[in-house]
Amino acid sequence: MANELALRSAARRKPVRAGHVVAYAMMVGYALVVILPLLWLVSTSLKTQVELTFNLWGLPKHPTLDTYREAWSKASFERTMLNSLFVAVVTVLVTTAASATVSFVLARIEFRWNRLIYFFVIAGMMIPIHAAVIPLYILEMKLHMQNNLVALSLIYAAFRIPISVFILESFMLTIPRELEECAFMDGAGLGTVFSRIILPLSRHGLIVIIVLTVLACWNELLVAMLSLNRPQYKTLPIGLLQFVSEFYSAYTEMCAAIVIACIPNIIFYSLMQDRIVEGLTIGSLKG
Amino acid sequence: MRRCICFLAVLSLCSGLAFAAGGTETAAAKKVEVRWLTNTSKTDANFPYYESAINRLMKDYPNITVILEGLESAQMRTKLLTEMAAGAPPNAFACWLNYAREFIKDDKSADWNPILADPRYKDMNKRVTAGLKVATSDDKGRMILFPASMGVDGLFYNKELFAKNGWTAPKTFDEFVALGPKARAQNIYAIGTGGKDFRFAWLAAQLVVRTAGTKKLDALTLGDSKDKWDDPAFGFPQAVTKFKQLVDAGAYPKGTNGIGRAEIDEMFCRGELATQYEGTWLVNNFTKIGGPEFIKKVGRVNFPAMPDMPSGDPNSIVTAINGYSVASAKYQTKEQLDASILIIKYLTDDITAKAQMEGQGVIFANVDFDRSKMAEAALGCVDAVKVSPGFGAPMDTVAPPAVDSAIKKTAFPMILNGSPVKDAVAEVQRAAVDYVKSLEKK
Repeated sequence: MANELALRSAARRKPVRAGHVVAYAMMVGYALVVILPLLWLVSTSLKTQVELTFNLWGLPKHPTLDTYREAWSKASFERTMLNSLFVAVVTVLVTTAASATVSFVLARIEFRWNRLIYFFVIAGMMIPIHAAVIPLYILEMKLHMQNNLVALSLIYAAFRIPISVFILESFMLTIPRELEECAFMDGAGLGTVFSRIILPLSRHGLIVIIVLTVLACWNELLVAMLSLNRPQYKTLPIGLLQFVSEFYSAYTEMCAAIVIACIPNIIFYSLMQDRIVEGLTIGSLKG
Repeated sequence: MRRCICFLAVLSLCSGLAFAAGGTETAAAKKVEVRWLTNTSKTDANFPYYESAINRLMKDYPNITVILEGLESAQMRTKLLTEMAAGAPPNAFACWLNYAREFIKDDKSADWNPILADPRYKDMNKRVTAGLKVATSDDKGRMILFPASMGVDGLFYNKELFAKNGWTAPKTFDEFVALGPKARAQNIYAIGTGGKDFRFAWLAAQLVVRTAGTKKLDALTLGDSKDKWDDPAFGFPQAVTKFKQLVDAGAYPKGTNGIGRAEIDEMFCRGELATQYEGTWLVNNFTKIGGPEFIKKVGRVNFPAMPDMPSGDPNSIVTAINGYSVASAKYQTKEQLDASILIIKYLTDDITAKAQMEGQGVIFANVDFDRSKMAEAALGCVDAVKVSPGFGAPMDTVAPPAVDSAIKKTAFPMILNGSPVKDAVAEVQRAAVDYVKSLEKK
């Protein structure tokens, strides 16, 4: 009986192929390439500046958390992170609301200037933010909207809407027309069709634009730096700049700050992992 | 109703009394908010001194609120230029000579001559030596920025390493070039520079000083010879040739164009580089990243002389003026202008100057300080200022920005990559000619 089981399990076991070994070796290698810099980052964040000079690659001999204390204080994380979060939330709300409605109109309603409006909207993708910096600054100044996180979010949203419409409109175009025709026949209005049929079916597209918008505004520096003068309104990328100066860079503190700054991203990704992957893969097929 | 009338009557009586008693004082203590934009982020050694000076000011003048905005240098320059272009300069700001020259042309920054003539600010004059006054004045006699302090150059060397190998600090450029192969034999490099961060502005200026003298450097950068970079009479082609000699002697680490400033500091502290050339702030860096014991091993000498360059200046040093400026009266109220000047006054008063000097960051004129608190290398910089026959300025503070960029981002990296001298010089000359043409168009 035992011999029979052993024979069966041997028959079930697939032979180890050279291709598999190479594939696994490559995956392990790739994982190391991704993980090692992160390990170095954490290890460096636990060293003093002097230890980093003389022990660049090794593990910290006398680990210290002082770097984290300094990093927290210099980058004012308690403020900058909340400000960045606020800006990200407002930008996402404005971007998704505006681009979903615009995309719905452009994708599902036929009218004379449809394509012209579509190209006009997506032409915004071609305006580099650097070219608009001075006019934006003047506009903000005239409207007294400097040091205003909502105004900053509106600027971010303005730059995200064209690409979001581009993505979302292509998603909405793939939804069969019969679905909304049935809804109209059942007495649904345009608003119901949008909110009950088109929007739920476009959720993968919405996830894509939310992810891209969060990433873009979470990391944006130039406009935030120009728009915000007061310390209480500074965002995270400006806070992280505090570890670099023309003549000196506090690397260990900077590493500690980056570790802290990564935490919200890790939480966001852990909570949204399935949806992000789903949205991005479907997006890659449809977009 | 009666209560209300009584309350209003008392209120109006109190207001009237207050106005009669201290009307003028109330006006003088009008609340003012001003912004001080500086290229000093929180990690910079000078930031705590600035913060402390601003806090003192706000304590002495409770009606003044100062927003201290410190950014990394490149970001600060971007912000400053954008605000200037938008016609909204910050109230007070750190500034460089080449920038100040452009700002004052458009009346965006104030002329310091009338400010320093004001009895309220007479104390500030002690920071302005005759040399600094000349250096910060333009051809119309305006003082384009306030020369707060100076950064001074030095060839910093690892004394322990030199003693161990039986070397002496190079006095002539030929000795310096000869150090290249000697250092390589010990598996170290003679000198390092943060090529990735384009840290060639000081070296380029010092090489021109040694090959043609400070006056020729001034003529090229500030004077009427701004398009003579390829003319040997002004020394730049020889300066690039000298740099190439160092490179060819193996003095620089391979891949210097990809090595950052911070990595070079670390290499010096680890004993992988024999020398490092740039400004006073290096002493601070060596203390922070090498530790208090390492800084004792660091010596400073002037950049080596070039006896084969008769027009050159063998002893002059390169100094950068850390200048401050304020927006002109056109761009801020009288109260704001006064508050802005007060910021500069507090940033350069004896308390700040003494603390900053002893902190080894920068050098102020006419300050009593405790020499025992400074490292030998920093003191070397202070003493060099006293005996230097002349002063050159780093390219990034005086050369037109496009020319400075061509020098440090194109010409010197080209030489490190093996390009011939004439090609590197031609790049700079092209940028200079374009700049001069742009001036003619204006």
